[in-house]
Amino acid sequence: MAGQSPIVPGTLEMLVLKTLSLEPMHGWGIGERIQQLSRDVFAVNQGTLYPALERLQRDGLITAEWRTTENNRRARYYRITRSGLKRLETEREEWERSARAVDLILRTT
Amino acid sequence: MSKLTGWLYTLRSLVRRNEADREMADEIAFHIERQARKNETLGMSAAEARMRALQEFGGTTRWREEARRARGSTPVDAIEQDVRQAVRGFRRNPAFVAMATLTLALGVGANAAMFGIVDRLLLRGPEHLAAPEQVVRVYVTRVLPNANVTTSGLQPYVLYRGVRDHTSAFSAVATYLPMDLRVGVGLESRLVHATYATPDLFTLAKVRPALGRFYTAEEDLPPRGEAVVVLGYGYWQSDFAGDSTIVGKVVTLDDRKFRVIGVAPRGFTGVDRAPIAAWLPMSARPANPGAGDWTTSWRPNMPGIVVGRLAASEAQAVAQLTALVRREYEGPDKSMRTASVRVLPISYDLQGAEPRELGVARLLAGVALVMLLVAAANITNLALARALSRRRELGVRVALGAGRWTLVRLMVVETVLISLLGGVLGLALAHWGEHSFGKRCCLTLHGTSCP
Repeated sequence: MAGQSPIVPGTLEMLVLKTLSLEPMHGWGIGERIQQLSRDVFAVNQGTLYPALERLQRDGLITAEWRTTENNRRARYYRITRSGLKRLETEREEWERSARAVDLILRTT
Repeated sequence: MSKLTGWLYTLRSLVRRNEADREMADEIAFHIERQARKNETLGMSAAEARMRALQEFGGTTRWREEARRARGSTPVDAIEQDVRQAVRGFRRNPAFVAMATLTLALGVGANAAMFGIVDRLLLRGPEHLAAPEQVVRVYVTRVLPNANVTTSGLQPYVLYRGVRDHTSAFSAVATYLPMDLRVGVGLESRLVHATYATPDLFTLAKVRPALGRFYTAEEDLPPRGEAVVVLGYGYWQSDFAGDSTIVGKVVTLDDRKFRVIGVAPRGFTGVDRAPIAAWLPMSARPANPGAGDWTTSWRPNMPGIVVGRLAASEAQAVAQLTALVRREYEGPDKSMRTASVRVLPISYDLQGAEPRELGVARLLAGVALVMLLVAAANITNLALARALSRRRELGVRVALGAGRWTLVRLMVVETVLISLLGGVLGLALAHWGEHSFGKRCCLTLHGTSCP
């Protein structure tokens, strides 16, 4: 786990939405996928995932259903909804804007 | 927290929340399982892999709670949980609950019962009497030759007529004469409360008959009115079984025959509070041969009571009526020339004194209030003692992560529960008390005033 850092505060939900926009996934899988996609830079604090998933569900951005995994184990799979995709888009724009801004500030000499 | 779940969860199974919680538990179990398997592929033993997975997760209970909060049902959950905790606490300490509830119930009950009685006796006017605060009784105050001051609420008919015809301070004025009359014959006979009243008493009270009609001014023309009667509702029910064809029939009162023309509304007692069995025209009253003409005498042997509904200020009424009495009085009594008229609330007695029940009721209300204060102090003490003996429990709760606000909430919920219990029990007590105590109380206090 050396060299890993927790994800940037406030971005967890956006990252979850992004992961789910690729394919429906269960909770553990989402954490793993975020780690993979960040090339092991980010380690998701696994517990925080579930409250975040509940919040996203409550806001109607994702839905959940129980399915059987390839190993014949029941797991809850999450799927992004249309408004979830829309939210992902706005959050992404927002993120890019602020990232550029932070970058600008840091590059000032 | 998980220790509590036993019977807690059985209750919760009624609600869908139970299902959501179980799903969350399943989901987290699955997560741990997958993580453990992954750890095993990294070369750990099964036990170590599982241990590691749990550590990485960071406390399944905590995150389950967090997730539940995120679901948005926590306010309900929290209160429900507080209520359950409070109830469990009560079970562990039933003596405290019993004491507190009983103390509170007695305090509340005594107060509610007292207020009920005070309200019925003093605050609320007689039934069916519209705007009773406008209705006053007329008193004449004289200074007797021996310098004693006397006030009387018994007035001759001639005063009533004078007020009716020559003053404008009242929108309605009436005179009435309560009298017990004999009904039935022989061994069956008994006395009932009846009232001879001018028909303007009904106008003044603004009532409508339950059946038939009230008598008119033409039927109450002195010196000899028509022999008609309006039955009281209770008497009509008890002695005539609520016979709806009663109008037109003849009843015998004090050996005189009266034709029934109507039935007064249920609970109507005029301006007093005693149930009245029969309403008769004022001029149907027995004439006393040899006592002079009761319609013109200033000292008839059966004076009535005069009541009016104020249309002007009390001062104006007093001024007009005082002038009237001094001007119109005919007779040998010099004190009447300097007499003054007073108008007082109808709850006052015929001597113009505050009703005796008022003092008693005030006293009892005071006692009840003191009882409530004592009860409150008692409960404060109990709660304080309980809080002190619970320091350990509260310490444990804080150690387990309960915030200050959580503890306060628990206390508030406990107190509210006790208050509710005590209040409900108190109301039940009051209801019972008002029935038994109230009945006995006004019987002994007033004789006739029991509503």
